[in-house]
Amino acid sequence: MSPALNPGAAPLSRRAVGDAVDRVRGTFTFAVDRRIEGTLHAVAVRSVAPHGRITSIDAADALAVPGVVAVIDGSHVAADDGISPWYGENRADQPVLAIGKVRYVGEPVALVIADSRATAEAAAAQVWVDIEELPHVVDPVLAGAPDAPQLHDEWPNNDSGTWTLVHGDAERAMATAAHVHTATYTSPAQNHVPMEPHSATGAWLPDGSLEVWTGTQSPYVVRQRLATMFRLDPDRVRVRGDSLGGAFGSKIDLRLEGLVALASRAVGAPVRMELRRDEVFQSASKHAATVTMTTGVDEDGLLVARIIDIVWNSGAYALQTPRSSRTGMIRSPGPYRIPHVLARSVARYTNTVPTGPFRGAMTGQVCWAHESAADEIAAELGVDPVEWRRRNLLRDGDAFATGDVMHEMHYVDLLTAVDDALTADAPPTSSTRTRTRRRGRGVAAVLKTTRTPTRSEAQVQVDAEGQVAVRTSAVEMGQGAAASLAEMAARRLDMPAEDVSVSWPDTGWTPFDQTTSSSRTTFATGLAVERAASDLRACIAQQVAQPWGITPDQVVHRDGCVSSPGDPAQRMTYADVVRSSGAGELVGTGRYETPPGAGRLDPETSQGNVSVHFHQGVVGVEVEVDTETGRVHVLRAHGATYAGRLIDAERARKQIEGGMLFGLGQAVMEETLYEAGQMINPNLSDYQIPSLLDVPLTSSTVLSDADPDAEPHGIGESTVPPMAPAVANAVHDAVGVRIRDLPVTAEKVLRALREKQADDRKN
Amino acid sequence: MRPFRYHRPGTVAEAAQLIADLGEDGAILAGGTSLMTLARLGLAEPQHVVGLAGVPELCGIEGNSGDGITLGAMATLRQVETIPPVRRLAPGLAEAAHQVATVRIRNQATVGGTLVHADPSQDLPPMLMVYDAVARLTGPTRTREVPVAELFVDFFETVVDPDEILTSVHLPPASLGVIAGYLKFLPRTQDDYATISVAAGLTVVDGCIDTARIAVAGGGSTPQRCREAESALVGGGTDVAGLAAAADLVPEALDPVSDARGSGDYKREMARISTRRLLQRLVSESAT
Amino acid sequence: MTERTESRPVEVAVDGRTRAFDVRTDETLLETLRDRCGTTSVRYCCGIGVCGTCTVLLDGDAVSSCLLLTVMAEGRQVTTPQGLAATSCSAISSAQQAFVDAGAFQCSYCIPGMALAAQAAIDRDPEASVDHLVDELAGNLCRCGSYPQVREALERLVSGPTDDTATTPEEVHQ
Repeated sequence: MSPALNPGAAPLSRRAVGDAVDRVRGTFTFAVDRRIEGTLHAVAVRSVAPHGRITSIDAADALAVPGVVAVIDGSHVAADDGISPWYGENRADQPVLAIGKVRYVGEPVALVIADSRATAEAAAAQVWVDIEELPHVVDPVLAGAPDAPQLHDEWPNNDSGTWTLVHGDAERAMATAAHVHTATYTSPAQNHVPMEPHSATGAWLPDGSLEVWTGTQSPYVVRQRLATMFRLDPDRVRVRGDSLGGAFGSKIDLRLEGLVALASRAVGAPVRMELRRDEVFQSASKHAATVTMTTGVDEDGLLVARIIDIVWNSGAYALQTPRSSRTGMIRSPGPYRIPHVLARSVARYTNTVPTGPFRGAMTGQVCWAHESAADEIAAELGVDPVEWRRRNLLRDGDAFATGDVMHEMHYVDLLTAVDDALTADAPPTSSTRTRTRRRGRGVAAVLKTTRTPTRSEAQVQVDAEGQVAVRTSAVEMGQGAAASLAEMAARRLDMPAEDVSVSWPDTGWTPFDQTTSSSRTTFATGLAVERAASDLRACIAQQVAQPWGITPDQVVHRDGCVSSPGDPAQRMTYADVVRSSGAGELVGTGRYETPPGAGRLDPETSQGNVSVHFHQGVVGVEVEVDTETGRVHVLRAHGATYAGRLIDAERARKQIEGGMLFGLGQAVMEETLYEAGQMINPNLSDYQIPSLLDVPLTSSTVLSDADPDAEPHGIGESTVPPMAPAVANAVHDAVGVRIRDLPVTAEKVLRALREKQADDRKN
Repeated sequence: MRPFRYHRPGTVAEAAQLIADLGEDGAILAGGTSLMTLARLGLAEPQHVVGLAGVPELCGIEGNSGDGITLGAMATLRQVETIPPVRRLAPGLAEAAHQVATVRIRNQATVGGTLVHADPSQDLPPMLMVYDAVARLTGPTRTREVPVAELFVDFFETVVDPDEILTSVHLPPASLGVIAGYLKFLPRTQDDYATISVAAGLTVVDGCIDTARIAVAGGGSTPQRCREAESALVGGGTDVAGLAAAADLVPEALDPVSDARGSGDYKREMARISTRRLLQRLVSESAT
Repeated sequence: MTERTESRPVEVAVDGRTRAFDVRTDETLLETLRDRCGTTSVRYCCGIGVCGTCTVLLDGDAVSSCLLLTVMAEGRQVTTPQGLAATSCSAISSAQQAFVDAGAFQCSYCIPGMALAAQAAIDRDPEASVDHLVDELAGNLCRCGSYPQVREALERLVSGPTDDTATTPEEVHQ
C-alpha cells in the first residue's frame, strides 16, 4: 500500500541492505507513490509553439469543467509580489510559468488544478492559448549567427556560456607537429528516459512555511531555489525526497517543485503533479554538441598539441549550462598527456527543450570526439589503436590540460584489462560470420572530473533499542547509494549492514548534501558517513572505557557490541551503552569537504586544480556489421574502471555493465528529433532504448585500492561516454567506414559503405 | 482521452445495429491497443464505444486442411501465434504474429482490430495477403467478403464502411500449401515496429516456382502485394540470380515515407535485400 | 460547457479478491489499480503499452494495464506483481525468487513487471528455454541496464533453485 503521508509527518528511514524482496515484488515505494490526503492535482498547459509571444490565455471553458478548482498562468505569477518567478543556477533566465513569451514546445504556460488528475488533464485541453509566433532556431550553430532569432533580451547572441582553456601554446606547437589530424564530431539531443516519471506534491502549512515532497536528485538545491522563488528563509522550506525509479541527471535542480508550490499557494491545499511520458521528454535533454578537434602528433605518434572548438545546444534556458559547459570543455582533451591544449567552448540558447546533466554529464559529447579521433590518428599513423593509446594515456606525474599533476592514474592497466578480455579466444556468440557479416573490435577511454569543490554532511546514531541509523540527504536512485552508505557505516561500527537503516532525504531533518550526481555520493557522502560512524564509535568507546578502567582505543568493537580485551565479563551491546549513558541516543557527526582552493580555476585559461580525483573508464566492444543493411549488432562489451577503495563488488559490476548498456542506446539508436521546432518522437515507440534482445554479453573489471584508508571513487558514469566511440571504432575495424555523427544508425553505416565501395572502385 | 458511453453487445447482430445507430459518434473497441493509443493522442474522441469482448461468435480460431482457417475478429494475435492449427497449417502466419510488438500486446491486440486499424507497418496484413485471406464484413443489411489485399485504402483507412463490422478472416484451403515466411527488418532495437517487412509464399514443383506471393508492410500508405516481382518468379527456377532479379523489382512498387526509422530510399533498399533473403530462405526450406 | 461524466460499475478480481468499482469509462486498469487499490507494483512509464512497467496478468496472460480499460476487465482475474504469491504459502513466486537471487535490479522500477512476465511465461511452458524466456520478456524495458542480471535470473528460473550466489566482477587489487 502506498504510504499516506501528510505534511509535517515524521521523517522516514528504512533498511537499505536486504530490500531485494520488496523491490522484486513491487512493494518498495518511489517518489511517485507518495500520496498526501486531500491533495488536488495539477496538469500543465504547454506551449505548442517553439517561439512566440503569448497574446491571450482563455481559461473560461476549463474553469467550467466540474472539479476544476483554478487555472493560473504567468500573468498571475508576475502580478504576485510574493513570488520571484525567474530561476536558474547561474542566471535567473527561466520563469516557473511562461511570462509573456514561450521559448520551446512543451514550456508550461498555465496550470489547471482540479480534484482529480483526469479532470485536470481533460480541462487542460480546454485552456485556449493564443501565441503570436516568432521565428525560431533549433540548431546552436545557426543560433550564433548575427540575424538569428534571439531568445533572451538580457543574454545577447543566444550566448549561454563562453569559456576557454589555454595550456601551453597549442597554435605554435601545432605548426611543429609531424602529423596533424582534424575532424568534426556531432552528437544529438537525447533523453534520460528515467522509467519513473517526475512527480512532486507541494503544501503550504498554516505557519506559512512550504513543504514539498519530490522525486529529486538535489533536495538542498531545490530548497534554495524555492526559498528564492517564494522569498522565504531556507529554513521555512522543507524538501522531502524518496527513492527514484532512475534519474540519470533528469531530476536535478528545480523541475516540478516550483509549479506545485505555486499551485498549492493559489488554492490553499496540497497539489500534486506527475508527468506523462511526453512531458518527461519535454522537461530535460542532453546537450547536443558539435566538437571540432585538431590534433598534432610527433614522429613517434606522441601528442604534441590539441585545439578543440565546442558548440553546445543549451536549449531554451541555461540551467547549469554556464557552469557545466566549462566542465565539458575541460574534459575534452581526453585522458592523454598533451603538452599544449587550446579549447574554446560556447553554449547557445535554442528553441528546444532545456538541457541538463545526462549520466556522464557533458562528457559523452567530447569523448565521442577524442576517442573517435584517437582511432583515426592511429590509423593514419599505421599504429594499433590500443598501442597508440598506451603511449599517450596519462600516467602518474603527467600534467593534465588544466595543469593538474595526475595521481592514481590507472588507464594503462584498464586498457590492458579490456584488450585482454576482447582478445580472449572464446567465440562470443553462435552468430556466424558470412560474406555479408563482418566483425570488428574497438576501444575507448574517458576521463571525468568529480564535482569540486563539494561538501557533504552526515550523522550516524544509535538509540536505546540499538537501532543504528544513517542520516544524510543522499538520494537512492538505483545506484545503490543507500546500501553503500549503510555498509560503510556498518563496517566502521563492526556490525551487520542489514541492521543499519538509512534516511530518506528531508531537508528538515537530514544534513546538507550538495547533490546526488556526478558520481560523488559513495565518495563525498560516503566519507562523511564513515567519519560520522567513527565519531559514534569513539563516543561509544568513551562511554565504557572509564568504567572498565581502560582507554577508549583499547575497547573492542564486534557485532554491534563493545568489550574489554582483558575481561570477558565486560561486554555490552550498543543498546546497553546508550541506556547506561542516560541519553536517548548517541550521535556521531561527520563531514567531507574538498580542500580549500580545490576546484578554483583561472577564469581565462581554466588552469588550476579542477578535481580532487579523476574518474577513469575504458570500454571495449566487439560488433558485427551487416554489409547489406548497415545494421550494427554489438556482440559483447567489456568495461573497466578504477574504484579507489571498493565498497561492494556486485553493485560495482551493475554500475559498470549497466553503464555500458545505457551508453549502447546513445551509441546506436537514441536521438530526439525536431521538425519545425516540434519534437517529433517524445514517446518510447519512436524514441527507443535498448531492450533485452539488444544486449551484448557484458563483463567487467574493477581495479581497486586495497588500502582501507584509500578514497572511494565514483564509478556510475565511467563506462557510459566511451560506449559510443568504442562502437564507432569497432564498426571502422569491421568494415572500414567512419561515422562521425551519433547515433551510429544502420542507414548511416550503409550509406558510408556504399560511398566507400564507390571510392574503392575509382582507385 | 475523454469518458464515453460504453456498450457491450452480446451478438454480432446487436453490435452491428449499435454501430449503425451511433454513426460517427461510435467506435468499436476490440483489444483496445489501437483505440487507446489513438484516444490518448487525441486522434479519436468517441462519445460511444462498442466493446466486442462479450460477443462469443467473434472469438476463436478454427482450421483444418480441408476447410482452411477461420480467424475470429476477436482472436488475439497471441492465439494466432500459438494455436496448433495455425502453426501446423499456416506457419508463416504464426511466424508473423510472433513478430508483433511484445507478448503483452499480442495478448491484447486482435485480428480484427489489426486489420481495421490499417497501420501500414503492421505485421499480420502482408502475411494474410500471402495466404490469399478474405475478410468477412457484416453490416445492417448485408454481409460481404473482401480479400485482405483489397481491404486497405490509405494510412489508417480501409474499405470497411462505418456501419460494418469485420467479423472474421478466412484463409482458403488452397492457400495453405505454400511455404511462407516473414522477414521484419529492424535497424534499431529488436522490438521496434518494422522499418520494412516482407511476407512471401512460394510453391515449388520440380525445382520450378509454381506460385508466388510477395507482400510488403511499411512500404507506403498501405501494405501491398508486389505483383511484378511475383510474376518474375513464377515459372522460373530457384537459383539465387532469379530470386535476386525478382527482389530487384520490389523497390519500384513501393513509396515509403521517410521518418525516424529511415529514409524512403533506405526502406526501399531494405525491402529489396529483405525480399531476396526471405526468398532464399524459403527456397532452401522447400528443398528439405 | 460541461464534461460528460460517464461511469460504470465494474467487478474485477484483483489478486484473488473481488473488487467492485464505479469507474469512469475511460479509466485504465493502471489508474484503477494505483489510485483505487493502492497497488504500488504496477507502475506508469510509457503509457502506450511499450515498456512493460505496468504489466499485470489478465486471466494468467501478461498485458499492459495502461492500454486496458477497466471496463474491459469486467469479470476477469487480474494478478499484480505484489499479489502473485498472495495465494501460495511463500511470500514470493519462483520467478521473483530467481530475480532476488540474481540481484536482478538497480532502481527496480521496471523489475516487478519483468518478474511477473517471467512467471507467466514459465507457468505456461515449464520446460521453456532461457532463450524462449528472453523472447517473452523482450520489450520489458530497463533503463539502468540490469539486463545481464535479468538474464541470469531467467537462467536460474530454468535450472531451478541453486545455492550459489550471483557472480561478481573480476576484482584486481593494486
